[in-house]
Formats: sequence, structure tokens, C-alpha cells
Amino acid sequence: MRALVDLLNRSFAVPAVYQPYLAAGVIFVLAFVIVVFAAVYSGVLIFAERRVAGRIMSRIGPNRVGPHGLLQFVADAVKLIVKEDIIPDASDRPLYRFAPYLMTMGVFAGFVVLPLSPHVIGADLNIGLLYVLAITAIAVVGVLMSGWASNSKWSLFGGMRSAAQIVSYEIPNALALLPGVLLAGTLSTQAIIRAQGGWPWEWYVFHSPMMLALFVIYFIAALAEGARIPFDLPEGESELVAGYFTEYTGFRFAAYFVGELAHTWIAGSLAVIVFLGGWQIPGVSVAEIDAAQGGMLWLYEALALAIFVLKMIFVVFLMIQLRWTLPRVRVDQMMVICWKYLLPITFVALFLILGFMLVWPWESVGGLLWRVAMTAVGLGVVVVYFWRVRYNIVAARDRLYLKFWI
Amino acid sequence: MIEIVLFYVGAVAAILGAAGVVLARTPLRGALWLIFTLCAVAVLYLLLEAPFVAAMQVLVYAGAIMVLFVFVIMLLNLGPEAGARPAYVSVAKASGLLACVYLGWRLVAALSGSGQKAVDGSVKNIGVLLVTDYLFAFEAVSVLLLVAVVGAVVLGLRRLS
Repeated sequence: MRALVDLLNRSFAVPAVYQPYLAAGVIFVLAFVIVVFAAVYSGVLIFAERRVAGRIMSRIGPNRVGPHGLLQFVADAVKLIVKEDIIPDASDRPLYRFAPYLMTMGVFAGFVVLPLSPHVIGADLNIGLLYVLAITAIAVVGVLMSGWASNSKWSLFGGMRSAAQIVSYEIPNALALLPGVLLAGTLSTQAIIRAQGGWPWEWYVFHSPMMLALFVIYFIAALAEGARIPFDLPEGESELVAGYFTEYTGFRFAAYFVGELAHTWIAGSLAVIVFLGGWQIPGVSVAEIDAAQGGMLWLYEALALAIFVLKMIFVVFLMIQLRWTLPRVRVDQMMVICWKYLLPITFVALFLILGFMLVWPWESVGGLLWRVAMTAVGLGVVVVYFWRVRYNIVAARDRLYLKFWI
Repeated sequence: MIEIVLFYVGAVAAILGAAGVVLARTPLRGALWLIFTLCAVAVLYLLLEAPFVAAMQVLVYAGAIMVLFVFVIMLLNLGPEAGARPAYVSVAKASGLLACVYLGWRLVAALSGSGQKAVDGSVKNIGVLLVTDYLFAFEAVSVLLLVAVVGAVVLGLRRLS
């Protein structure tokens, strides 16, 4: 934000009297851009999700509206906006009307500190990571509020399940991100990325075996926080109709969906920022990016942006694939996974990492050897993953038809 | 200029939210107003250049503790207060108001004119202070929390057996 204000100040001579208005204007424009970005991202994601679901279930998926069904989400949005907005008689009207917006507000506000490239970021707060965790916690209040205000048993159950789940999984989620903060020595998202490097062995995920384990734990906890399958208990259709948004229609219903889908961007980008090296370009140091001028700067920015988004797509694609692969866990299993497995493992890994940091510092030969070894392990996992996907496609007697967009 | 505007927005929102907590008829609305107040106070912390405290306020109070409050209220399914209020309520209200006015007066008297510059509220500074100057208080609080956790486990186990 400050960079944008500076840029405007350099380009136009803004009198000192108007400086507050300039800052306020920039804030409003940035907020608008973030909301539009999140909404369009959710639309594109729902399209991708349905097409991938189609391929996994050996069917086609939506392909009628627009080229390859790409405009399906626009049609869905128009449908939901023109639908009647039903408010149940027995509901708590003001709370019922406000709840969806509180939930989406909490999610959208998290986008402020998530960078896309060295300069594309809403605001680089020095408590960035903490800010995301804090502001997304507000979404729980919206969920609980809607569960209560709907005055329906299904909504109430869904809201309470959701609150229990999110409050529980917040702990392994935050603790799994902590080693990244320890290694970088800062909470700022940009600074954490800058402390890493472009090549895989310079990413925090391959720092040590414990880091690799914490990445998996973070991923599971992020799935649970976003209420995605296998953790979509709050809206378990088989027992709760649709959970906390059972009573909602029209635009408010759409607001919940946009909030949930936009949350995958937050979960995915946190994984990319803390574990996968963010926008770092392989072979180009941060100093070179900072020193670049004119055309080179634009080139580096575009490259960094592409790298960040590619990593994001990979993480989010994993989430989508899991959604259509795994069955839903039970409520008690959900609690047991968090409190009896994820949390103890996270604590043990955290303490081991502290010792690891003392014995094999990041730059030392031992540290480098560990990182290269862990990178090999990680590559092995990726190779096995692709091999299994291919095996499953062949085993389903489907032609290996990788042009999944048709 | 922009700070002053934000201060008044945050301060007025905090007072309105506090009034909402007192005046709300249903317990759930009261709890939600309290969350609103806590967020407004977080804005004031931000203006005092204490972003860490502000984020913690939202994360711990608004995001976790108050969610548990709301959770319990929903679990007990508390409706709006019904029936005539007992006579002592008005006495309690009056004495509460008096105590509030006295506390406000003492606070203003204690804080006005001190003009003390706050220390840098960065995460690093808070961390250093916690393990140097305030080490004893920090450790005492962690022991207290440990006792609370052990107590919760004991109570939970008794219920099971």
C-alpha cells in the first residue's frame, strides 16, 4: 500500500493537505481489488473443481456455457443473485442477514498480507502471518452466528461442529507454521519468502524431516479449517442437509460459497509462502531482483508471479483431488485426529527442529546435505504421486487422456 | 489526521459495543456485541503502534475465547430473559454505574499529563521483554495456565469414569 502511495506521489505533485485522502483512496481501491480478485478466483476454482471432479468420476462435467464451460460460474452467480432472498420467520433477522458477510469479510481480509510477487502485495505488515491467522478466526463467528440465527436444528448443529472444528485445528495449523517464522526470524510474509531461495533445497519444507512432516500436518489442518472434504462435517449433507447455511438462499448462500472457496487461496498461499519458497525465482537472488530496473524488473515480477501462482495451483489441485478421493471422517474421528495425533506430533517436531537448528545451521555443510537429501525424498514422493495417478487412470480402463479440459 | 478519524471511529465503536453488551436481551447477542467491542479495542491498539497486541486480541479473545462463550450459550440454548426483574437489579445497575464513573475519573486522572512514550510494540521487543524484565511474571502465568489445563483434564476424567 505504501509503495503505491509513494508511486502516486512521485508521478503527481499531491499537496500535503490531500495526503490523508490519497491514503484513504488507495486503501479503498486496494480493498476493492482484493474483493474482486477473491470473488473471481472462487469462480474459476469452482469451474476447475467441477471439471476435475468430472474427470475423476469418469464423466464430463459442465461444458455448455462459454468455451469449455468456462463461463459456467458466471451463469451460476447470475442465477444465485436473481433468486429470492428468503429469511425464515422465526430467525433472528439482523443476525441472519449479517452473518454471511461477516464470514466472507474474515476470509477476504486475510488476502491483504498474501504476496503474489516481490511488489504485488496489499500491505506487508510486520505481523503478517499472525494477522492472517487472527483475521480468518473472525470467520468462525460468522458461521456460529448463522447457525444460531437460522433457528433451525440443522443449522445449529452445523455451526457448532464448525466452531469446534476450526477452533481445534487452528492450533496445529498455527504451530506448523511456526518453524518457518523461527527460521526466518520474522512474521512478515515477504521477509519469510526472502529468507528462502528459488531452488527446492532452499525451501523451508526440505529443511529437515520434521519440516516435511509439519508440511503434511499443515496441509491436513488447512483442509479442516477450510471445511473441505474429508473434513466437511459442518455441512455434512447426509445428516445435516447443508449445515450452517441450510436456510440460506440467493446471494447470501453465494457469499458463503465464495468465502469457503476463497479460503483455499489463503490456505494454499500460506503453504507456498512458509514451506515452498513463495515467489523465489530459481537462479536469481533476491538482491538481483531488488537491483533490477525497468524491463528486467517487469520480467522478474512476471516470472515471480507465474512461479507463485503455479505453486498455488499445485497445492489447490491437491486439495481438489483429495476432495473427490476421500470419504468424510466422523465427528469423533475429526477430534481424535486433531488432539491425539496432529497436536502431539507438531509439538515433538517443533522441539526437534529447535535442536536441529542448533546442530546443523541453515548455511552449514551438514544443513545443506540434509536439505539436498530431503529434496530427493520430496521429489521421490512427487514421482510416486504421479505414478499412482497414472496407475489409477489405467486401472480404471480409461484411456490415458490427459487433455482433461475437453 | 487519519489517525484521529480512526481513533474516534474505534473509540465510539467500542463504547457502542459495550453498551450493546449491557443492553442486549438475549445472551447470544450480548456475546456478539462483546466480540465487536474487542475488535474495536484492537483498532485502538493498532493506533498505539502495538500491532502484535492487536492481532493477539483478535486471535485469542475474539477468535477463540468468545467463540467458546458463544458455543456454550448455544449449547445451553439460552433464550431472552423472561418475567419481571427482581427489585435489586436497579440497585445493582446504579452502583455499577457509580463504580464505572469513579473508575473512569481515576483513569483519566492517572493517565493525563503523564505523556510517557510507549516502547516499540514490535514482536521482537515484546519477546525480549518477556524473557528478561518480565521473566518471573511470564513463568508464573505459564504455571497458572498449566494448572488450569491439569484441572480441566482431571474434571474431564472424573466425568468419564
